Amino acid sequence: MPEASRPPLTFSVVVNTCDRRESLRTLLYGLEHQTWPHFEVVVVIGPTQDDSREMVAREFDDRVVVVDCPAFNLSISRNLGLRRAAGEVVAFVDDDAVPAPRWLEQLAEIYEGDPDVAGVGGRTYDARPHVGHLQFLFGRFSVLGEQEDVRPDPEADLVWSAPAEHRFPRFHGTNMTYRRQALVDLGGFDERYEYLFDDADIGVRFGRAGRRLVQSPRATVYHVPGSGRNRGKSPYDLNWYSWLRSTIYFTLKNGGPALGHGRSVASALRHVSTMEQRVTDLAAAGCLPDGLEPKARKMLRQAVLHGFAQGLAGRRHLPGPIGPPPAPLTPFPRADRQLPAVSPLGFPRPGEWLPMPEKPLSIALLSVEYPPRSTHGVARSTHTLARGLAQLGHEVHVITRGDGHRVRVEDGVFVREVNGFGLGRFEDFASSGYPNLTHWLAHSQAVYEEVAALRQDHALDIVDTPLWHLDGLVTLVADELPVVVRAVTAMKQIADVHAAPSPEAALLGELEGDLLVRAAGVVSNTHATAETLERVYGYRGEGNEHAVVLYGLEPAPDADVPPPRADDGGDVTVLFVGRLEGRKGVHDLFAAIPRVLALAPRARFVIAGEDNSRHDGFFAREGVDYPTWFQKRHGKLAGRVEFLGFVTEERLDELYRGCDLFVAPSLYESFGLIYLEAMNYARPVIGCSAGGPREIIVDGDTGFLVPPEDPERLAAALVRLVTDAPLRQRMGRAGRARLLEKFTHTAMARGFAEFYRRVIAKGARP
Amino acid sequence: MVTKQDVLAAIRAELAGSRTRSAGAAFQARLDRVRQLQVQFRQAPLGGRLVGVKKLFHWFTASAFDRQAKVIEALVDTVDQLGAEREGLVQRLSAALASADRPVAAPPPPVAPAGGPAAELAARVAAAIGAEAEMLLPERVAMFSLIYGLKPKTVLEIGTFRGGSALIMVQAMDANGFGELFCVDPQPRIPPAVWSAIAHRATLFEGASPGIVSQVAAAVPGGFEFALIDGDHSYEGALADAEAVLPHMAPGGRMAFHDAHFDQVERAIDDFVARHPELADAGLVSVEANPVAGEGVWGGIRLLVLPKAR
Repeated sequence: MPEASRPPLTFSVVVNTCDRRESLRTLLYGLEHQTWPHFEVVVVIGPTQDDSREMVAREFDDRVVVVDCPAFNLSISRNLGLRRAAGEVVAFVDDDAVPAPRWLEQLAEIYEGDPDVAGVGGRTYDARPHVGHLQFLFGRFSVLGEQEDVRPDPEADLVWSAPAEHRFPRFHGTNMTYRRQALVDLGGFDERYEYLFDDADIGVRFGRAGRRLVQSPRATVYHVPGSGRNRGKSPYDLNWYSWLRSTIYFTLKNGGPALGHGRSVASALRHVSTMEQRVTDLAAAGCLPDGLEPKARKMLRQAVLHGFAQGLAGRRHLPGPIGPPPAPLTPFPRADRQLPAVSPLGFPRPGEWLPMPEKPLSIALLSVEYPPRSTHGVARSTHTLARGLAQLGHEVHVITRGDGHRVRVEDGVFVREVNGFGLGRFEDFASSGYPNLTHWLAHSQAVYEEVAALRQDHALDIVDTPLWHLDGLVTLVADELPVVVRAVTAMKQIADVHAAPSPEAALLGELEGDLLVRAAGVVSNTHATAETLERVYGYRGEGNEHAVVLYGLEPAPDADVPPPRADDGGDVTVLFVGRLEGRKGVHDLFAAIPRVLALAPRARFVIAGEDNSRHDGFFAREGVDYPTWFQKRHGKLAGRVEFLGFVTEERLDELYRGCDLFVAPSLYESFGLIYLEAMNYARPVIGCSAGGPREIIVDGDTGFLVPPEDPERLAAALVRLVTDAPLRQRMGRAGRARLLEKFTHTAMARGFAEFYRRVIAKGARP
Repeated sequence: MVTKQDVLAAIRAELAGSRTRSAGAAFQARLDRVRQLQVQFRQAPLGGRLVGVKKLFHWFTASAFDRQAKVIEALVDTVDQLGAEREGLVQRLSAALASADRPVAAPPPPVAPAGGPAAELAARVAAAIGAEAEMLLPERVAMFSLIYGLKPKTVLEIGTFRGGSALIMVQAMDANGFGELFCVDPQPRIPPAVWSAIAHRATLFEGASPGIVSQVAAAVPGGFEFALIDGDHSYEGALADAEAVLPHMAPGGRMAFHDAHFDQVERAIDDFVARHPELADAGLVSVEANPVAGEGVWGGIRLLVLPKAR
């Protein structure tokens, strides 16, 4: 018989803070997105020197309960929060962390399911950019001060000196929750711990009291460890005193009663020598310059004296009796406005905390490749889209391939790395001659599992997969969320171009076709791609939503756009960027160059891109690569044509900025980001009227469109721009204006977001 | 013949199974653990770092996936992070190790508690890292892990000199439990203490490469699975060594070049790779450079991979 009459569980989220106004602010805005609405927020502010208090009053008015703490002591601060808390459960979170939106919802489920549960803790990621590893999961502590924070397998054996019955679950201080009454009954936090071991001590005391503590595999908090008084400027300028004293005190106070003084003292001595060895090692490695070593040693000596004295002879500093809450719950959530999603690093656009017209979406973007691993193709466009969506206020998760599982935050985007190798699934296909299919499916399965895990923490609305590598296939088949397919150049199209497609490529093509038909929606990056989908896959946008959203890039700030180069009578630099291969129109360019130089000898050509003659058949036919062929054929012009080969991203950027005009006469481009790169720096561009460039270049306004495989027209367009500086300037400016109007990352993201909403609204799928 | 329907059926079968599974979850756990160890490794002082190296090897070699690539990747990753995050630490450590000039016969004591395979491996790593060899710290770690991760049965070394790098490789072979090392040097100067530590796996060929290579190869019918080329550092010498070794490599073998940053060696490798398009260039597996005034830039290990079938 369900207890329908019982009111929902209430929480007091307690934040203990000092001198961290900005991260506190991020946390408070982050809490606005909790899906469980029955909670208050109690902020306990230490002896702060910044204006944290004013910020809270100004931006959150009377929705936040503020308590002052006179001491710089975390346990005192926690006890003050506990006294003031009116919720049934007290949930502690650090001021440099943000919980996932379903944090309280998941915790509530566990508490409501079992009234005997005294406390629940969850998983914590160190979500800093370039870090992203699990910081805490199923952590344990023994009464002798042995600890392990990340234990993916909670059943795994621990090689510890304390016997199994003296090892207890411990919650991470930034993600620990207890029933208020249980904490009160236990006597509160021991205020001898100024900032370390407070969480371990409370966990071990609950454990020894026989209370039930539950460690959830989810209930996620993203931690971005910030700076603070206890973390010095040098990574080794630590508060050795606090660290060692707390360790000794903890070991003696908890180990002594449990296992006798002999063992606890022996363990404490081991901790001392371990820490001393640490200082010795650091000093030997030269990591403790500027008097840090004597400072550390002095702190260790003091810590030994105080630690043993307090641990053997001192009493615990408990806060004294704590009565019922002094005031009723102060509800925090506000349903009347939609705020942009918050990443643990703050809003992607600093300072813009404005409400949005509609609820922000929670979106998972899939891409096997992602920067910094790869900066091309789908990796690049996914990155651009992710940043654009985040800047519009949406919550964005990119699921990509990594060595293992990590979640890091970059520019407001959650980047979640998964690894499908060794999942051992779909292995049968490998032995039947489909080795790549096996890998793709394993990754697709890993992606699906991450999506499923993600949905437990976040209210995910939609999944967006490229038509490439089958990232989203398993998620699509699982049919639990709307999945949108982002089509760029199709794999099948490429396979068809190559001589005889392998059976694997053919199968892949069929599966891609399936993705298109079964998806809730399909987005093409140009009308040209949409036409390709019809031609190659027979997909006509029937039965699901379809839209064309033009891609874009993140424009350079105006200040970074170089002025057009003054016409000083010197060289006029024409830049080509692309692999040297037939598809990129290299033959036409080579045919045009002598004609251009005959009429406009000031032209100078810079060709950036790797030679691909060995793969497109040119080398087999001619016996030489493209640069050699050109130099042999037009030796006299060699001084006016420079082949750079492969260039780095940075160099490429310099080339765009340093050129006078840009040319890329590709026979076909599905989109053509290279033209936008040049337009970004206000350079006129020449491309062919085939595929994407038709939608990017306005002929005669931002550059010229010439027919493919027409070197004469190409040469004429080049001559015109080389010889007319004012025209270059005008077209360059028009190109930049067009980019800012139609091809920015936010314009692209807006197009996608509108499409997502359309797909979600339609709901029902075929 | 697998069809689209087979694939979709396989996916559905997967989805119908338990979601939080077993093989996948355990494997993920292992990867998480590796990641955590890497972090500990980064943060640990030297003693802890040796333990970290040991644990990393343990976890990487215990994992079922593409072991070789992963060991190298993790290594490069770790060395990179060491370089980037603990500015100057690696250099200082290398300098300290180089100047310590400790007798090789008495390797530093194991850091892990005595006894057990973990302690034994830790001792080997410590001995390898402490060996007297003209190699930077990351290079010592790289050489040890290449041998430990790739597990070659037959290894050729051109340029043994005092036997430092040989000792590193033999320590890894001992950890593997197998492996034979063929050392080539025109004027070897291997101290007795080092020789006694490697003699059970090493055969020494005193003579000049490339001439002597075919004579060595005659002793190894299956070809070399791994070769370290660290002999004549002139352009012509390095290229000649590489060319002489290549025909005697086993299919899928690896060729490592020490001092790949050195101008002449670098050019020799580039030209060697250009001449043999079948070779895959894995690039630098140890990126640290060692500039010496008046001589040039030394250091760096570059790895080439032969095709599986010839």
